[in-house]
Amino acid sequence: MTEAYPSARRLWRWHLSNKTLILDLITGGGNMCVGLKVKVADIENGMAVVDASGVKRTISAELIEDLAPGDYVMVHAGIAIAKIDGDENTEADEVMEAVNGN
Amino acid sequence: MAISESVARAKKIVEEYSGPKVRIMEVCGTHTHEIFRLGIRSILPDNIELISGPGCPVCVTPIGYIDEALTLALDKEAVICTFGDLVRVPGTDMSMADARAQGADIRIVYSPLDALDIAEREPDREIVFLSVGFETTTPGSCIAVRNAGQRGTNNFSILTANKTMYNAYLALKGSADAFIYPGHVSTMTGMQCYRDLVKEGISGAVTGFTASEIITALAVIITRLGEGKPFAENCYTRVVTEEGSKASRRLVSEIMTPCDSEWRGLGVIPGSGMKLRGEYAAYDSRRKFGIGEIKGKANEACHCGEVLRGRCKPYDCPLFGQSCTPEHPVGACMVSGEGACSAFYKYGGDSWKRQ
Repeated sequence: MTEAYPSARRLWRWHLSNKTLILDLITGGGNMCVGLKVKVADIENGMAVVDASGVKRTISAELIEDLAPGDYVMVHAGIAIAKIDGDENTEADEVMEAVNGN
Repeated sequence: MAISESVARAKKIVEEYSGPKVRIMEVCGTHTHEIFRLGIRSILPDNIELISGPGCPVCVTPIGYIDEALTLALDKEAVICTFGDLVRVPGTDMSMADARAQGADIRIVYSPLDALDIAEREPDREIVFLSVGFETTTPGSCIAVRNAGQRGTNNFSILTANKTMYNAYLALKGSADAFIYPGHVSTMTGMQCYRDLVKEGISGAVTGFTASEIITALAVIITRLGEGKPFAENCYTRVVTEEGSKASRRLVSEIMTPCDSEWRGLGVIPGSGMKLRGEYAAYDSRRKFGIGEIKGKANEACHCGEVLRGRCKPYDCPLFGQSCTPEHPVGACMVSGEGACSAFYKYGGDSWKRQ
């Protein structure tokens, strides 16, 4: 299940749950180990402009092949480390199916 | 939000577990904190014990490293660029925050690339980036060094204390029955290293940081432990792939090479660190500034080492909550927001089990 246009409520909830992380992204303060899920807005010369609840920042995109605007990536210390593929419910279904299949 | 049927089933498996006692070690500080924050410990039966292992880079960084950074800041008058959570870690005599009060130029950056930008903006200053962290942060330092080389930025160097997890699992073998492997480190390594650990008799599951992901991973771990054979499972499939990031491994091996590394609490683990290759010596702060070996001295009462090995809980340390608090930390596990002591202090630990 992918929503092309997440509802305002979902966005707001996401914003609340990531508030401090977004603050980290802007200020560069706090914790080094924060992984933040962001949407790729644009790509240029191995760098990606990402959008975290309206906050734009340029990060390195060179570790991920075939990154395109609209993709979601996990960002860690200014570097995109992985593309995010699918949601956690589908993931849980897959994982638990494997447990079933004993 | 309603939980999915699969997650509900996983939760039931965990809550109703009645097998032999299992000890599961999480080695990522974010896992430690999320497990507390989400209240996961409170639904666990007594026979599932969670242990917080050495996965917070700030916590495992030895005191001597902080002393090295202080030498560069105070004696060599370099600008120190660092992730925020290292600033308050006590060295032998003081922390970087204390050094800043004495006039040292200590700046917090979000990324090693930001430190390189500072070097380019301030060509008359020497910029040192404190390069700590595991597989997820190491590529950033490598990109910064490579870019500095390409652009001829000669006033930039890094003080390496980068670490890799693989040999740490071998060193920790026997501390737990299974590991919760770190989600984001695994995006880089892929699953192969965990398949190799299976051959060493070490088990675990990679997982993410949401309640559903942690619960499903626990359900998978106790189910597989019940089957009695070592295993490596990926419960974070939306982010972690089987092969990991080849681009990152290629980049890191071009710029850095493995070395022995000291871990706070665990001592020197052979081959568990990363240092710059000889051809990048000009970007290695230790070689550039010729600082000799510095041995730090920890507070003798501090139990961070035992906590990191899972041998004692934070509240077993005589300093915990007394002279060591998040406001006035003595040990690294209390300083870092990722540390086990900080999590126990903030969320009350598993005090309900101690009564």
